[in-house]
Amino acid sequence: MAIGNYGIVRGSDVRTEDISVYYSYAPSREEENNEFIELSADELLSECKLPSTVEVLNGEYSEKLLEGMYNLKLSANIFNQVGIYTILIKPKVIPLKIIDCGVLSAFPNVKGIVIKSSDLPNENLASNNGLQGYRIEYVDIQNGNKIRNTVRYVVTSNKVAPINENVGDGSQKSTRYRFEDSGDSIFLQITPSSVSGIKANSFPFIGVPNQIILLSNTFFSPIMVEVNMVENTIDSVAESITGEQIRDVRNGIITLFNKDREITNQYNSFIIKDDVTDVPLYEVKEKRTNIDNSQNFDNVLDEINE
Amino acid sequence: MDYYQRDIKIKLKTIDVNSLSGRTEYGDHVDLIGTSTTLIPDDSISYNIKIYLKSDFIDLGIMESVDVEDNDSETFDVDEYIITGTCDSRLYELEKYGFNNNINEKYKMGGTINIDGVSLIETDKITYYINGIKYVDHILDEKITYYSFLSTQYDDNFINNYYVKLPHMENYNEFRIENNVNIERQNISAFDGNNRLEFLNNLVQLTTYGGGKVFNIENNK
Repeated sequence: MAIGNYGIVRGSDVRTEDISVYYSYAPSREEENNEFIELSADELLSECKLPSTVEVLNGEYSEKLLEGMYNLKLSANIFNQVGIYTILIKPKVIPLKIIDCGVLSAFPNVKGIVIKSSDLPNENLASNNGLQGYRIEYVDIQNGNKIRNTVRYVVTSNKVAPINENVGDGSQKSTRYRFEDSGDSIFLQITPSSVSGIKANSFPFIGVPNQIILLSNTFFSPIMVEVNMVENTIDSVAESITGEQIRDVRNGIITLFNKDREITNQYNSFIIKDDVTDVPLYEVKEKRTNIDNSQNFDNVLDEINE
Repeated sequence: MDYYQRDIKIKLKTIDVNSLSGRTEYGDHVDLIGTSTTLIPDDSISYNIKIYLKSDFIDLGIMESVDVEDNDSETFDVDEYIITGTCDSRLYELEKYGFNNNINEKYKMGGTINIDGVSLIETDKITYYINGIKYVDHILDEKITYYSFLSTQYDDNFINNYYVKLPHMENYNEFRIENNVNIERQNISAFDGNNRLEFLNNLVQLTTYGGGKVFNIENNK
């Protein structure tokens, strides 16, 4: 029998509530800024839909999701500086504590970690198998650092209740867990958690009680988008060269317009002469920050027509 | 992480605001009197980029880490409640006579929830059923027996209750083992010594002695 993989890279249908978005800004490549700021994924990201002309099963599939495609809306009240914005889009992380590492009463060879369902942000995650497929990463209980290169995955998650039962010869008591839908605890069976056949007493690390774990969904692969906010694109440069201009000779102002005849740039243009000999020394083109709106294209043309 | 969103350049949109009125001077050469405005970034708009989020893998593990055997689907069936615990092994009750110690021939096989017998022999444990109760003997390191059966009398406080699967068997003593022969006796009976055995001439008579109810004999035939 052959074993293989099949399938394609799948467009994600993750909900925006399961996404975290962070950005960092640096005015140029020369500046180092490693601080990221969180943004609301609900406000930035929106799902795309199939064309409205596409009818799926007479409209029974009304959502008509175009999987994988999302619109990233960068609000200019944040993205308003010339420079480099680095945007990270990644699965949302839920930090919480392990309350116990234990076994199921009915299956004492199944080891897992136990968390509190009230620590989870919503009830869906606390439902049976609501955390299936989630990724677990660990924080070192000694120094608070993340344990690197260590990842576990949730295979099953079920509500449980602790029970105290005798083990061994009957004198030893131990807390074990049984499935109980009204329980406040959730038993996570994780992988890898089985011993290898080579060394049967070497149990894989699954965490320790009171350890912080970072629980994150695996609904999509994280991406990084780098947005370069610039003063000019090739279009605007072409516009400046080939577009409409007005040179106010009397006041020494050069005004550049875009295709909509909106002012894009304005310059002072003047000549510096020698005080004594009145010989021209420099021709200066100086960028203006205060735009003279009287140089409006239509105004100037109207003046000529009058 | 993919870098398929490369080199996105967005021209910062500016807007004319802050109308000023007054005098602006540029050296000795130009004097302006009038209204002017300033170009600042337009905060009222937003820039839109399409991105593609993909799921390279669905990180689901494999259910193998639960030792699934037979029809153990009740593990996840929360409508039925499993009573479980530890006890002494009852495997000897399923031993056959006259066989060697080959573990695969030693016990009565074919056990299910309805038929007493061994259902599965693994290197580290033996699973068997007696009276509808499932027993798992861990025979390697733990040397412990776990039992489990589905409850029909479940209530939320069952942990603190005295639980009896077969109420009519109450007040019976536990088994005693004498020379590999199991003898069940009532609490109140006077000790009925093994001297009864002296009336038996062969093993077949064990199955018929006292109407066949005195000795618990598994007949291999």
